[in-house]
Amino acid sequence: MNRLKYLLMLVIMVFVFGACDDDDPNTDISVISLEKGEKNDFDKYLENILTEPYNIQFLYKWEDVESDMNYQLVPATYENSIKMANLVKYLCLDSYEEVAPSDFLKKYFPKMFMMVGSAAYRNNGTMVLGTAEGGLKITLYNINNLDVTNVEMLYEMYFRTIFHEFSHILHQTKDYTTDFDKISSTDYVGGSWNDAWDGKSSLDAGFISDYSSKEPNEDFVELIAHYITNTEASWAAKLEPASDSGKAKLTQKMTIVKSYMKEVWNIDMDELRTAIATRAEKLDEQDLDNITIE
Amino acid sequence: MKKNIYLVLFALLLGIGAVSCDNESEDLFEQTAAERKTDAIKEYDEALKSAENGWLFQYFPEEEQKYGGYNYIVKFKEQDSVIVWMEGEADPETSMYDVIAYGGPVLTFNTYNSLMHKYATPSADEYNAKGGDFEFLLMSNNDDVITLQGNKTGNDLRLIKLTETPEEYLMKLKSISKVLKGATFEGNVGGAEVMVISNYNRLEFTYSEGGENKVVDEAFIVTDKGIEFYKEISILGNDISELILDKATNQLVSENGEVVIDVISSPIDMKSTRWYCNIGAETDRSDAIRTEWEKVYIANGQTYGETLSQFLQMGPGQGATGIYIYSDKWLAQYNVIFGGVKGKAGYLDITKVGDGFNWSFYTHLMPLIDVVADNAPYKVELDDEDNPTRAKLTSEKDPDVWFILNKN
Repeated sequence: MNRLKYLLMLVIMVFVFGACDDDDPNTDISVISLEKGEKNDFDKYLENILTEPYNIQFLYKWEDVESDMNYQLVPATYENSIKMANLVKYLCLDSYEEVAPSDFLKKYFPKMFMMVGSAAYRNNGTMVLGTAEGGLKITLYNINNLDVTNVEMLYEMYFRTIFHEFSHILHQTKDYTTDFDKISSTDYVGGSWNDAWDGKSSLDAGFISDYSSKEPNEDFVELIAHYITNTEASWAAKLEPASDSGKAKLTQKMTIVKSYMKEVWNIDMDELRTAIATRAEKLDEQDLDNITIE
Repeated sequence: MKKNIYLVLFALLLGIGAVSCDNESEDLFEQTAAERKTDAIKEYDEALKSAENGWLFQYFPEEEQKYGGYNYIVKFKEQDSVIVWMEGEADPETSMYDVIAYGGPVLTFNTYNSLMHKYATPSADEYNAKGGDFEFLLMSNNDDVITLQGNKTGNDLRLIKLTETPEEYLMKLKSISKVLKGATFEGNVGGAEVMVISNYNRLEFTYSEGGENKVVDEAFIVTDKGIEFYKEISILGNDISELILDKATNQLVSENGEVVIDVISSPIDMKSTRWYCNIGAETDRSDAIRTEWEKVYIANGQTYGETLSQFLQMGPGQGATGIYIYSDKWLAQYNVIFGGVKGKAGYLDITKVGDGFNWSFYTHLMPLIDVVADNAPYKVELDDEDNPTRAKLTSEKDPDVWFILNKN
């Protein structure tokens, strides 16, 4: 009798617990959907010239999540995004390609470019030129006002930002000598770089730009960005008005920058500068509207 | 005793076992959330592309709709491309769009289109632009009407399937907006007088009800029949969502006929377009105007040592419409209302309102305002009826007072 009772209990238990066993998720259905959209000719071209060779993502269609919510911004035009993609390839990537070791760009060049049509205006009427997040993503503003005939503006508005951010990645990967920090050690002004030089010259203090005076890392990458976007003559002219001590400091710092680039990355700064200048000179011969895959 | 313990134990185990099975909640949907999201996007994208003639897009920028509403026509095509027309603009422009998941299906105009992004484009003067959206949460779709919500403003907007070509519909809009552009208004509700003032595409009604002064201010958009308000308004017991334009009488009338607004059309749009008179050019003004300008030029030199500009400007200025002029880098504005003359087509009236921007520093310029305003109304002759760029204004009272306005 007792045994029968236990058996009965056992059977009931099996049913009760067994009933729980049918709630496995269906692994055939993915809960993550990737929106691929339709690929147009420009998308395919971008894949061909930037994504495949360099693992660079070039965002020209507006993406809210990738844009800065602090500013009122609009998307870039399709036409100017094409021009910019070709410019990045021609003026920047191909210049490095001429002088840098193979795989250098694929390994270290920023991985994401985001195009924004308007400038990012602050409430005082001034604007932000370009921004970078963690050396990974570079946002270029004011693409809708792109003027490809004005190389100096191209440097000022876009390319110095790119060279600047790229150089950050380099020194964050392998640091430069602390001797660099000592040259202007007492002159860095930190966050007040924007108004510290009112009526004074940052050049006299040995800085290539006001922003250089923020801290040694910015100083270091500003020197690279400015050096390679100037010819030998325009660089000399730029330094000319500096005081003797300013000039001396700039020369000292440039020596360290050049030897760092040569020793650590095997890049000759003068060769790189020439490559960029030569390309800039022939810019008007380039078909920047091209999206045909060769 | 022992038996009881076993029984209790068994009951407990059964309890735990049975309760632990209670996760068999019924699925509310047959598909997963991800599948439903993908389907919703696909559904909307197909609906958008399905309109052969495109969609009328009734667009209101700015979260308080302070500029009123503007009509777009959008036609969605393959390869994520979209053609955009806008009321008052001659040519359409093509750019790209997408329907994406962003807290729900969102329609985004994701490459720049100077028409579609007009109210969203910032400048050094307007760093927040005009608060326009270019991303819209898709709310509902019942075949012929898709309702959406501006992502930034939260404004409720509509896409209405067109049954005629964009060009045909835009022509209808033009025939209405031509009457309303730059017009002034006189309202009458059930026999009571109502003051009506327009500012951008908004109407402000001021009236008295039970001895109390009341103001109702609402955004509107031009339709093929008249105007439609963003939200229904109520004036003296009349609920109004739209006003129909009677072209024979030049009146905007409510559906129940109780609200009647006389539209006094202006021969020239002085409310949204800026104009200037070059007093320095002999061909562009009568001597009467030049004489007064010379007087105030000298007075201004004596007062501040500044040079008064020879360009007298008129139209929308700082905060109101007015007549304004530069003295060196300083702007001085006297506020006036420009409007048509009731019963007299082709005439422009100029009514003085009072001191505008910086005027208190430049009261010595008043004789110039006086000669312009006191000789109104003016007969207006345009170089081009549809798109005027030059207009000759001749005083009705004194034909020796005249000047030419050039579009800014």
